[in-house]
Amino acid sequence: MFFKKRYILIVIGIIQCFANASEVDTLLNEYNNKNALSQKTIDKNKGHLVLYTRDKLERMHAKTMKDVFKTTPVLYYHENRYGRPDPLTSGAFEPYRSNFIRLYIDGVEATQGWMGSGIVLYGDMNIDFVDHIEFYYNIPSFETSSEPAYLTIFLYSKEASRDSGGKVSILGGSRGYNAQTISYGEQKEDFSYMVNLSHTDAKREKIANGTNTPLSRDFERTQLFSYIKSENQIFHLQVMKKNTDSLAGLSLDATPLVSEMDYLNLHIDYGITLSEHWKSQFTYEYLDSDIKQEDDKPFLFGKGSLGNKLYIKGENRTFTGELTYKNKIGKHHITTGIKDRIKTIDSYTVKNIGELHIPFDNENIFSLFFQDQYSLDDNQLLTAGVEYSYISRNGGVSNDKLLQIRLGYLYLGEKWSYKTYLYRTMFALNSFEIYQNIGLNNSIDPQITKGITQEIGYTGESFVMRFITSYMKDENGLLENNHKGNTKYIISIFNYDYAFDVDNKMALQLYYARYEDILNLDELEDFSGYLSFSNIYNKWSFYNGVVWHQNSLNHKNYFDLTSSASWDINKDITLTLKADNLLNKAKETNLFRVDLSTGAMLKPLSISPIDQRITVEIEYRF
Amino acid sequence: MLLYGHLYALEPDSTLKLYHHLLSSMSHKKRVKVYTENNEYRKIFFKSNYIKIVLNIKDADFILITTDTMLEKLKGKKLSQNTIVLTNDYRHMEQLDNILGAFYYRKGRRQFLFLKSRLKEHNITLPLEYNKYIVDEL
Repeated sequence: MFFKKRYILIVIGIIQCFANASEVDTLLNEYNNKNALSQKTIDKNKGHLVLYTRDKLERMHAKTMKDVFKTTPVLYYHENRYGRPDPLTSGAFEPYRSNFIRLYIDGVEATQGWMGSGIVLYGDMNIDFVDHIEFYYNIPSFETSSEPAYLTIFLYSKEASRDSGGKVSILGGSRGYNAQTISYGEQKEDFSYMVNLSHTDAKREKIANGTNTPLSRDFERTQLFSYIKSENQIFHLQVMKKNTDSLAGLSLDATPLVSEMDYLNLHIDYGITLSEHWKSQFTYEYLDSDIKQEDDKPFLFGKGSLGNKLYIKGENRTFTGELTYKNKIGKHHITTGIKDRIKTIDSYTVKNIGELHIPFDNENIFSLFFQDQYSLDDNQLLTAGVEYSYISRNGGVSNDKLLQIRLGYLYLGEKWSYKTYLYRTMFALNSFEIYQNIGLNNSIDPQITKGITQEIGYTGESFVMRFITSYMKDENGLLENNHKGNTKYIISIFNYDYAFDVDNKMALQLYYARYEDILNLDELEDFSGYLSFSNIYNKWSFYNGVVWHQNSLNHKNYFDLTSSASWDINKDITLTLKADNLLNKAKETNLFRVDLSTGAMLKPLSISPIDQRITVEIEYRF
Repeated sequence: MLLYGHLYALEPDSTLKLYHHLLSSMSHKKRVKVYTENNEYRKIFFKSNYIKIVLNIKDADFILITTDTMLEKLKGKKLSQNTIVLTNDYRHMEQLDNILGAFYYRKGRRQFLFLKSRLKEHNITLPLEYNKYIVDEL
């Protein structure tokens, strides 16, 4: 009884502590919320947003995209059989499935060119240079996208004017995992610049496969991000070198002797504001890939065999150009533009066979779009957009014509908000898969997706609440269930963010989805939740977040608990202790295997992309 | 979306509210005179009935440092005992002894920092709610 009373008194005390936020703290909280950089980049018409502000990323001690992506609804972090980030992976033998997810850095798409969406390369990148991240669900505004997408992820870099000076951080953790970053930014009178260099030596959990050589997904990554910008021009240079142990790789029974995939990626872009109405942007990307695979059984390629040792070297390039015109005419906000993306594969060499001269080595995506936002009044707008893309391919491979339409209504009141979109979009099979299957099937019709989405939100004094629901249907689906029927999706997301005061915050997210005829399933239900508490007390800050997953495949509950404690030794030095997947119960997915002697499916390996890991980090600002 | 130039821009209402609270906590004057070389702050303070922008350091009740250049300029200047100097970079406080406090950006949030001895030298007693932002030494 005594203890019961004591607990009640403690709880009342804590509530009172939170309830009695001082006036200056309330003003500080309001200032921080309204002056977050994200407030300047959010485009209400871009789609349904899940936002990770700088404050939130700092409180989470998020160091990589994976730390963030594992907490998102609908599409969350997964790795495929090659150990690469691929949220839509089926665990089967496809190279990757996440072409529907597109990644942008400072508004410019980062791709892996011929190989498709940049998410496969950048999905677990170091985010030390990032200020905030915006996840937009469903079909994005045509102003932003060069290729169709379900989910667009926008990373925005830190501003040198706010984050001037330098920072060094050293991190060490379980199994010898270590990472180092150094960054420096400066605001000059006419321009600003930032350089961020990081190195990660990721020693990860091995996966037992019944042999003496367990599957490895260790990687070593060196990453450079830099920009220089003035009032109306911006130039980015990004370089990433990633040497990866590629898990099962091309081994069909998941028993490789050697499985490595190494990449060198270069991304350069330049943007210029030509006038009040005209803007232009150019991007050049280069990817060098080096694949080494050895197995005790032969690798199968199409209907043939390539022996049991496979060394492939490939180079590809991508050029993207955009010209955009914006104007306000009466109540109409018009945006129109053209985009052209040229993807080339420059070489593809297989050791002992030589360079493969496949006639299909060039893909050109030309897009034209028009979008109007019509203001009904100060709080309401109607939006309509149309985009036409023509994808031409050489080497006798069929071309594609994609037509996308997006209609929407938005109400943005002081407290209440409402959005609804009706859309039709089209997706073509990516060039790499066409390339791999050339001669077998070079004429796959584009997928057509039709859908409707709705979002209702309410902003209170100390909380934000939001509910999103959507219905989509694929025709000629690339993910459909063996052509049994059209894939259908019903998705609901609920968010509730509460600030006890300027230092103490809570976030809740619940997600439910029901899919019909997806992959090789007739029906799939997916549930997830994310609950986090972040608290700051004097020189200490604490974060506790748990991600819960369950689906109808086995109704097994998965919990990924992340906890961290940070101590500001002084204003310049911070020490952080962090534990990822503390319970070692994070979500697992199947990696399928085939017994090559019988052709029968073996029991799949169940693998979590989230390692259980303890890390210690020290940061020094100068 | 294309993003060029300077992305960062202050939100006027919340900025004014916070500075009104801070400056009125440090001065009993009905209207305070502020000197700053930052155009964004000037534009925002210009909308205030409480804050008056002055173009001469000598006329200022408050000086707001926002750049290293401005800090360097102030280093050689002799300021009146009644002038209160604030900065938006806490590292400036180590370089100039007469800066009383900072409203600085760190880890994604603006935070306050005041040095007890310097407040005492200026006979300034901040309201209790600022106590957690007052430190004994840098």
